[in-house]
Amino acid sequence: MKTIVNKITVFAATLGILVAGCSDKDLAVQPRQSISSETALTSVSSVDAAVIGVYATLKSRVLYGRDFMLYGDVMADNAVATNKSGRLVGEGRNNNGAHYANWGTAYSAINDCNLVLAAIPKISAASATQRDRWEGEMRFIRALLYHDLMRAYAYAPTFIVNASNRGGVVLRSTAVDNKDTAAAFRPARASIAECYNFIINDLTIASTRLATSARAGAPHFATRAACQALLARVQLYNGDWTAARTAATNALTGGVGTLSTAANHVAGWRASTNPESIFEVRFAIAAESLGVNEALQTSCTSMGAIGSPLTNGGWGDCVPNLFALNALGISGVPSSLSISNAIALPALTRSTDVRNQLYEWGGQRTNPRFMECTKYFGKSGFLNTDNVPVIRHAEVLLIRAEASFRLNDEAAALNDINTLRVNRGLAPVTLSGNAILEEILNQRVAELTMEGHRFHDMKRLGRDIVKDPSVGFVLAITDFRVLAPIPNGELVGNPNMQQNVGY
Amino acid sequence: MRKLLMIFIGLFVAMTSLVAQTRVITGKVFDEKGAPIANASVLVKGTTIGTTTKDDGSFSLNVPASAKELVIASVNYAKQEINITSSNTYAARLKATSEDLEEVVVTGYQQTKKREVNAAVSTITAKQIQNIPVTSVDRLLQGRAAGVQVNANNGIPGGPVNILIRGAGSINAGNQPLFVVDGIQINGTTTNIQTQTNPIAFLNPNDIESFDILKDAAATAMYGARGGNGVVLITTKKGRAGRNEINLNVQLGSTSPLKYFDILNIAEITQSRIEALQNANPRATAAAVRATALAGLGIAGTATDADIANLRNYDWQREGLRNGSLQQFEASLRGGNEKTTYSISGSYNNTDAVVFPVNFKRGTLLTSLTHKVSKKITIETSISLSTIRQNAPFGGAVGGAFLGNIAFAGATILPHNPIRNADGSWYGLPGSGQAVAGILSFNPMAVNALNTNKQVTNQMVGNFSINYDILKGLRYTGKVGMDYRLVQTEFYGDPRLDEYFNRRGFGSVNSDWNTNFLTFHTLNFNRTFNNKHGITALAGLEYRSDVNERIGASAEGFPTPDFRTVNSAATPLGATGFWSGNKIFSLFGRLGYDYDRRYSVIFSFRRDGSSRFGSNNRFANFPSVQLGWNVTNEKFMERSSNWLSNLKLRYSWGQSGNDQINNFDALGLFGGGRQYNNTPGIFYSQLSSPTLRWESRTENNYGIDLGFFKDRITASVDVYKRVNSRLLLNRSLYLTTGFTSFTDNVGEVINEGVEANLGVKIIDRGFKWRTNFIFAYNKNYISKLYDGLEVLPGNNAIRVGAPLGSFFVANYAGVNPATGRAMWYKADGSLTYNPLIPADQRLSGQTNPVYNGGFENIFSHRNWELSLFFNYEYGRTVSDGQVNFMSEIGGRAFNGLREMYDARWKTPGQVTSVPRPFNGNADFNSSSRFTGQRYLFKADYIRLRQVMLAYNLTEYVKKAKLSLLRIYFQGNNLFTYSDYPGYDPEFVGAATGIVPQNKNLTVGLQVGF
Repeated sequence: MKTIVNKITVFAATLGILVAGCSDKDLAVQPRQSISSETALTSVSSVDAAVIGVYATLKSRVLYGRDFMLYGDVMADNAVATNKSGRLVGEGRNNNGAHYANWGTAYSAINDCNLVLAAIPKISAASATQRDRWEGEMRFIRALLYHDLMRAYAYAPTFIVNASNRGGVVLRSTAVDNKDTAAAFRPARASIAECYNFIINDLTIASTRLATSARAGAPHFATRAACQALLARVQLYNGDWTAARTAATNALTGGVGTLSTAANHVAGWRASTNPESIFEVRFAIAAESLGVNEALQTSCTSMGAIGSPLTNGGWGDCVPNLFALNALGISGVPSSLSISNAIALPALTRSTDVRNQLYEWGGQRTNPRFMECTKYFGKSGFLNTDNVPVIRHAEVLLIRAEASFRLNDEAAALNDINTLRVNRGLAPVTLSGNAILEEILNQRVAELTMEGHRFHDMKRLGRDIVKDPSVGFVLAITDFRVLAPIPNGELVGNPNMQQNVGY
Repeated sequence: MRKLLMIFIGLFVAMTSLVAQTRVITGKVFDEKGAPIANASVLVKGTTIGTTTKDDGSFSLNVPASAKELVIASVNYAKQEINITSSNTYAARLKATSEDLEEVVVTGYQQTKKREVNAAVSTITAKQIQNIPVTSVDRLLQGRAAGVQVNANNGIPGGPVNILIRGAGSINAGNQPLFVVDGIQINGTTTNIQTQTNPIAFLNPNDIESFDILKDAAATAMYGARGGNGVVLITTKKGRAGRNEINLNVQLGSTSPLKYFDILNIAEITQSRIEALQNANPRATAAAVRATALAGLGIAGTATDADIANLRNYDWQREGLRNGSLQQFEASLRGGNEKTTYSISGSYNNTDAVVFPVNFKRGTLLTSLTHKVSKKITIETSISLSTIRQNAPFGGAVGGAFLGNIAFAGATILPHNPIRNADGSWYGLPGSGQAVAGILSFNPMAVNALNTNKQVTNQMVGNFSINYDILKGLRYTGKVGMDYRLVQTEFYGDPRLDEYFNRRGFGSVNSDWNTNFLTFHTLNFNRTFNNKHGITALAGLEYRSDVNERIGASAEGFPTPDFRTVNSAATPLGATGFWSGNKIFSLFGRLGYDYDRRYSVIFSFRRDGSSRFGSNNRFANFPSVQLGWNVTNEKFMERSSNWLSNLKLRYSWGQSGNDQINNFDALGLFGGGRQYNNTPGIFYSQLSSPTLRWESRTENNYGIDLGFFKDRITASVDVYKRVNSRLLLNRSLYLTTGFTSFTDNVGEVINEGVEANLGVKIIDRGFKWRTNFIFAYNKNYISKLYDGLEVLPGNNAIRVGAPLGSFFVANYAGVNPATGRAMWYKADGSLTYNPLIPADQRLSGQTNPVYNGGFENIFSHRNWELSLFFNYEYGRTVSDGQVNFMSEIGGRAFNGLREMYDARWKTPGQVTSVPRPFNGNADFNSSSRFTGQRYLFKADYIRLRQVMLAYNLTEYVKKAKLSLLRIYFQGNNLFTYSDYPGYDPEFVGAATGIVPQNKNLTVGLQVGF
């Protein structure tokens, strides 16, 4: 009997030790792919990694991976969706809800910017140059993201449909870093003016910070020139012509990129980094590709190699229409825009404009063939992997021309227009009055098609969008579909938030 | 009595003095007809002293003087106990039965007599499921246990199965039950790399002795935080003392598709494309439209209607959806003596899915051994080894690049594209100059034939346990177990195919492994005092650690298609590494009291601590209570005992938990994986939630068990209300915060339902007809969100009062007869082309059924047996991606359903529900025709799940001295009654590029030696 009692005692003691030995601490398991948010932004290397993390978000499809390069064309009057994969068809018809959807991604990146901005003063090990660089980069990207949010969800100050104006977007300059703050947050939209002031302020400070501190690797990183170029664009939308002209001049003389010439323009588009870029989002390796369905290359062309229509590359979902081809000096394309494989290609005539060499008949394997844009062609060395020129010299030159025109400095405007024309293989023109503005807009189509600008040009100028005949209607610029719908979840339970009209 | 007393005294003397006095007794064992039973075990009760009978049924045994009773047992006979008297010869007559013991139920860490179980537990026995050729045993639960709803995610052999026990309780956390095999909790992750795996596909169904399904919170409280979605306890077959049994079983058959779609020919497709293009380009001339249409279809622009009608249409569907083969081979050896029992069982299964080239090959080996080391110590071990090889469909099993899946592409590719060239080579490969016309601009058969897409799963589930009988009725059990699963995949994109032509091939390999370690230690007490007071008690502790790791690499640029391993590629693309883990530590106990077999009460308690939760809330308690009253055992019931053979009332209440979230959801994290300019970046990936804790399930269950006319009719009804509160919810944040959500404990979901079982022996003479009807009703709804919200921000279908899995869409109003455009109802009942989100949306069905169950009929006469098993579901709505695509009718250049083509709008005034064909599908300033309720389908069905006809060759068995010879014919999924337009109403998911289930016919032969 005694042995039994002993055995039970030993057994119970063993159990007791096991139980006592398992404390709360033993139950903690730490991840190995992630680090704790409490200590994440406390060193120079981790803050720098967080800055890189923000740059990386610009590659996403809803930002510069695709949408901000193509929606501005397919939703406007210079491009159509081919319905080869079915993508971009809704946007091409301006269907209800088929619009930019950068809200969530942009605000996530904006919060990442704010987190870094809040962390900078605490990194005592960082040099003054490093701090300036981080702050300048974060303010530049934040301004870029905010301006794109404004382009999608709000009117530009130069043309506001008052009846449909629900203001700008939500301004955030402080970081959210815990769930309680996040759960309690009930944001409201700031006014359009407040938003533009916020963006201009960011770019002004960023320009100062980056004056001497910018990291090597332009145009793939923020520089003072990039800040000024973006500022020129923002002021163009804002209608502050003097500021736009000043910023444009600063950008053009900022030492990042140069205007290409008629002789090297096409080659510039074949290089992995476009020599005209003032800011460019880099896609360096194949793993960064958005793939065969959504990358810029597959969206723009069905070919696998330039001049090789039998190699099946991608879809070719978005192509220029006759309006754009006409601006580029290409004629002879039938009004249906397409040619069956079975039919011999019609003879095309091309003007001396070198830019039209970036357009050719697309692949035969997804019949029929369209005139496709070859600006994006796996230039990083891998299929469907291209650096994305966000802002480049030609655009800034045209911004300055437009600002000069608005300031009644027609000579300066014409000078900039002709600088561009000559460098694109065209003869200079002599114009006056509104014809100058029309020529600027014509050059913008020829220069920037498939770079996402036309829709915004129409919107900021308040012009109706005469869709391609194959789509067959005119989108009045007062139509509710001009603005994107704010994600429905943003409105649920938040009385401060206002949806755009019509959604 | 005096003799008994003497024996007791003798026993006591024997124990204390350790002096053994023995004598020899002899005897014979017969069956009811007087035939001798060989190999019956004869044991002195409470000892390991025993023998087996010879061929003439005789035995001889040296017994101690203290021996009180003999226990005589044989397979298929009722156990008999005989008092040992002064006589030295004995005769035993055993009754043949399959119910040789009082029914027991495995309830977690111990067995309980069925009559003492007061909670909701369903049991399925080996006999009900024998020889059904499923690739994973969880499919066998379908329709056989009330309240257990089973849907095949798809027809991938060995793929996962969606199981809901008493409805879904969680919005974001997992809803799948816990599987426990011989005491070892199985890691429930379904690893999906190239194809889907099922964590319990490692078991051969015929190795299973029983399923015990713990359904209510009182029953599952024993599994605490892991029990909240129900627990399925699987017990495998073990050896039994007595004769050695050898069983061989062969089953051969074929699998075939459930259905083919009725699709269009190229002439009809041309017509629909012309209409679609003309409608979308009203200003274009008919000639221009025709030219564009023909170009898109790859037809010469000069072709006349007659030419197009004469084009050959190839049957891609029947090329890709094939008849496959099904083979199952099994061999088992089971037996043992009083000291040692063993079981060795091996099997091989080869099942072809109907979708080329998907298949499943599995080999299993299950061995178990039990040995009595001494009077008090028993050791047991069981090891299961299995290997599974699967060919996956291209694009993965779960959709993704579904265009390459032949179940999708076979029905949608333009039918005038040839499949092969005259020389047998695939048509339309890049570089051949041939072009496959249409959106599906590649040869899907070639894609599946040339690519390599393989997955191998090797799994080891093993355990070792030791039992030590400390005192009479008190036993210590210690168990150590491991569930180790390695999934290895290989994908090779062949450079001869379009997608990989420019990249010169693409290869990727992955290895993913789970190491799941578990140990528990229990003290178990079980005694009845004064034959009235039954006491059971259990105390234990358990520790489980579960680690998942993965490595992988990918590369492109292969010299030729013959080089298929990543080391021969020119460009490495990526390398992945992954690690995740969790730990859980638990204490638990149970105390049961049974008075006079009339009243019983069981309390249980568990305390769990888990690494998954916030540092402030790691531990939680899970109590339960069960009450039962066996009314039939009351004296006042004696008068009615001739017709009412059983009446039991049950009540139970309990709490269990749900922890099915990611391992690190409570932590604030910065993640990596972002890169820019060849530099790695980090970002704030997850907000910390330090107070995160268990999702709690509280349930009340009321049950009644009835038996009439000596249990010729049995019935059982359970009514429950299950409340899941403090849901582990991905609480939405406004995106302007920079985050989408964090995991919080908010919200509440209620499931209320009724479950019923009715079993009737309709005819019980020579000809027997037994039937079993199973019914379950479950009402599921969200009763609370947070902050007074009626709708979850970001998901309009998650609303208070609505069931989980609801569709919240605009109601379809049909086609405007004047224009052929699709219309929807606005909130005010008026019509619109552009329904607003969410203002015009309404609840419109749910993905989980309201009613489901099964219906089984078993007929037997002499040597014949026939069983028919149906299951049914009602009240389920699904959206079918493939049917959506195939309803475009001209929207894009691919094939569609004839039914939709015939009903399409053609002329003004025509009343129909199918809009006019329209290039790109969304009419001018209209929502897409895929919007809203039009593409929701009722998925109600009744399915003849199994038919089996078996013949036992008893005459031959006698002659050949076999124990069993049985031949059987079987059919699965032979008939389905449903209106559903897609491949399979059972399917869960988007249904694009699925591998549909198959039907199969097999013939089998089972021999026992």
